[in-house]
Amino acid sequence: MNGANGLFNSTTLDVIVGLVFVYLLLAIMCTTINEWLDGMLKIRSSKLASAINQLLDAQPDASGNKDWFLQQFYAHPLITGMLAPGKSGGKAYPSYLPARTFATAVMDIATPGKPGSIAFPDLESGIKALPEGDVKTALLALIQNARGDLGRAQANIESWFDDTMDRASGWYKRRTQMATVVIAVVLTVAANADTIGIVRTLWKNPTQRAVLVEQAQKRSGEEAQETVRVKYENKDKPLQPTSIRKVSKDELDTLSGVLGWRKDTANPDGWGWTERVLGWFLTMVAVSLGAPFWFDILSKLVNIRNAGKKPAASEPTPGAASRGGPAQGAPNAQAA
Amino acid sequence: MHKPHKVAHFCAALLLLVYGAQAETLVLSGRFVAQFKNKASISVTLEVDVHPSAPHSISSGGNDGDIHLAGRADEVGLPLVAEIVNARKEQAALTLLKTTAEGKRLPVKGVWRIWFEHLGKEDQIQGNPVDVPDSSNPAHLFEIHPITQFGDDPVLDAFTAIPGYTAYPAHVAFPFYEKDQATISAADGSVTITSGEGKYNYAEFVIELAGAVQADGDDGLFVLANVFDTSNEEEAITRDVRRMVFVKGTEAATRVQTMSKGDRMHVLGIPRVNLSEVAEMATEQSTQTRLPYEMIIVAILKD
Repeated sequence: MNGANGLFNSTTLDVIVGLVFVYLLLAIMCTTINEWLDGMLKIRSSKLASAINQLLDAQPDASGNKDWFLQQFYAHPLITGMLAPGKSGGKAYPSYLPARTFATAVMDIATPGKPGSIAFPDLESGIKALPEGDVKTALLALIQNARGDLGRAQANIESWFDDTMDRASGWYKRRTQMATVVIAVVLTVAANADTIGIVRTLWKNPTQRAVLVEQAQKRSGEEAQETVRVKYENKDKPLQPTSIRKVSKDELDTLSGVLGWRKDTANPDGWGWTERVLGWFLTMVAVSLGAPFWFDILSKLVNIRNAGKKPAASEPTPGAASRGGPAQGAPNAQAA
Repeated sequence: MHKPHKVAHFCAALLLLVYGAQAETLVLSGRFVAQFKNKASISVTLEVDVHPSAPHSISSGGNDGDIHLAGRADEVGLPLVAEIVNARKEQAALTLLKTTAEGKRLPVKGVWRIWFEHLGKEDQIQGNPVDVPDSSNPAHLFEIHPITQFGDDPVLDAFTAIPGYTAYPAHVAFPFYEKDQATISAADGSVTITSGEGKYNYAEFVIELAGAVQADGDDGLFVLANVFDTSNEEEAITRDVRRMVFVKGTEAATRVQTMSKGDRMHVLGIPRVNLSEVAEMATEQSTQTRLPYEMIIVAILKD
């Protein structure tokens, strides 16, 4: 069955497929944990709240209430309408705020004596009437180049908000990436997912290799082309789809053959530990690349493997014509 | 630290390049997705920019008897086209449209529809300024199609079979819908969908209800169904149940409310992106997937 030489002889390719499959499953687990933590800790909405605080704090009213403008902002009906009920009975900050809503609320707070439609001079005089503070300074700077155009002034305020959100988005991304790395580290060590050890196991153990490759083919096959699928668990509730982003029990069982802390390998000698830590490091880097990356690689590898597969020796080959094109014919037949 | 994401996005983009020559990215606000993912319709004040003077002719493909108008609406914040199906049946709406001057604002209600059919050269980002269209069919991914109310005129009578029109058979349209690829992600309160060019606007198929009909609290009805081709009503043509969207007051909606699980109906439908499934899939890490879709049921067809 095995070709004697070359990168893509069966054994080498199967070991790579098996390893990539392990990376994929670990990356899916990593994403799932990250999403769960994100939802639990309300990271996104707290980042948005701190970005808004940065924009609108330090603007007192005439009585000296230091964060008066910020309090007015969160009390504005345009904003209260976006606050979700919190678990403790209070209001939870939104995780998203359109720039237009932000600018409209800010302009409305700055022009308290002008309900309804306003003109540029109303906005300018309203801002100038604010006590000295950060928001006043920022808004005056923003309307400076609006050339008396209210629409332009609003666009400038929206841009101010968008720029801050871009920075907040950067913080959020960095946090997600950091969390991904931390989760990858914990997962890798907890599962003893040592790349070098996995490769060694797969190389030496054809049964384990075959089991992993079989699962990898299922995962990348026609029935599961996505790392996430949506199902309707209850067919009477079409408004409640649920996503399935999980590692199946079969796949977990498969992983148990190459991952985990076993007695015979738990305490290697000195060089063994060095090798293991290096193996962990390789796994962490790989898992940090994310499930879509590894899914893509796996799909391509499985295609290469299928395209290069020789017909089984026991299969009858009825004629010369069929013997002439097994490489092209095999995957097509499977897809059909 | 930025590289893993970049690599993943690069791979996703590469995949899309492999799957289809042309693709476009649509960025929706998360709030919009949450608001409309389980709604059939949207109500807007539409600034009518360009419209033809007569509906399409009727035969097959794009000659579907619709009339469409390009316009802008603050509620959408994207380039959009609104279409009246079976337009010749709706003379009052046609007359209103013909007498509508460029730039006039009209209340319009209809089924929202996102479909990657009329791709442009730039990403479409919800909330960005929308250029005034220079034709009645500009590059757009968002439609109000079919319109259910134009001005003060309800146009629900138009939700019937289009006389003389040959729709795409299910065995042609659905294999495409089922395999159409997309990359979906969410970040910073937005949902991003990238997909290649969609097609097969009108499809003819048979649905078999897989569950109960559920109302959306406005004018929509939703139900899950298996889909069959008229030439083979034994074997479902979709890999799983698909969500069907009906508009209350139409013949099809009235019928489906009397049906039970297992009952069948021969229908004419239009595909749209299923935002409910998109919302479920969208996470920080982009997901390469089949484009989630659902079918808007326009008419009951005779067996």
